[in-house]
Amino acid sequence: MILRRSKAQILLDILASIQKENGKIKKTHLMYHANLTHERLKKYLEILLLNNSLKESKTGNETFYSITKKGYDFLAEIRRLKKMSEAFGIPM
Amino acid sequence: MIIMHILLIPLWFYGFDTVMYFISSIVGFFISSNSYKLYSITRKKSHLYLYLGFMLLSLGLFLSGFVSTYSYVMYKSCVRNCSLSLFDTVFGIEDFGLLLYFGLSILGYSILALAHLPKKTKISSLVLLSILAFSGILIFASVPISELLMWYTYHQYFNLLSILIVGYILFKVLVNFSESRNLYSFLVVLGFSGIFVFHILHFFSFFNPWAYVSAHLFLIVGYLSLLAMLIKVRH
Repeated sequence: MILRRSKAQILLDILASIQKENGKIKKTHLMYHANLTHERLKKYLEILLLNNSLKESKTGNETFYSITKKGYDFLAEIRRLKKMSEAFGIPM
Repeated sequence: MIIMHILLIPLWFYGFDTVMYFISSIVGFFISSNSYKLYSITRKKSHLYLYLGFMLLSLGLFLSGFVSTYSYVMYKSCVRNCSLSLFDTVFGIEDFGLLLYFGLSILGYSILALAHLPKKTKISSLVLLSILAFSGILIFASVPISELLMWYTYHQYFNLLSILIVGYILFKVLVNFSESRNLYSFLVVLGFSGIFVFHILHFFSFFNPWAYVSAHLFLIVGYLSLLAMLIKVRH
């Protein structure tokens, strides 16, 4: 059975992928780690950049994304809320 | 139908139940505010239901705590220096507050049950409201007009309906625990078990004073278990 990931789960996966790579990752690697197409990743990155959870930087032709302090806090909060939701038997 | 007018509450327990209602209400507000944060991220209906359900339950419990404080204070002042006629106002406030508490709680439990319905079930909030309204009409129809606005008329119906709805929620969280087998879901099972037993014992509060005392002990154990889950999750 294929389960669709919710929006919150995708945001969590993106932030967790960047955290795994010590807080900074290439856009192409992020697509692979978060298992998202270019278009979908773009949409979610916009959300995270808008709420200042991520910072974008460019080195040559490569685009990098790094987590900000707010991003780490957001990641921790989503993880806590996910545990609570699942404790009630409601998947996130 | 036998209508009972007085809950059997031991004198020494006066005030303890009020504290338990207030504590439970605060815990409910904590869960509700966390559920709102969850909803603001996910925008899922089930999280909205979790937020609204606990919000309504907390409001109901707060109201119940307020009403019992009021009636104890009035009772004490009456015992000292006033005539029994003052009891009319006491029961007036009690009727209003407790009827509102019953309504808010049933609505809160029903919304929580909605959050636990399988995704494929097409029961909308409108259908749920219709079922509740129909049950309400059936209950009203069976009540004598002179007793229509008295809280004790609905006490047993309220507990019976709560047992049914909380029983369903308890079943769902038990299934979840059997699958996940973690401490958080166990604490939620413990929480709803406490609330479930509270309503069963509260149903018998007209017959035995110990039923009232133990019901409230189960209520507080239930809500403290939910608080423990919240604290564990946050650390």
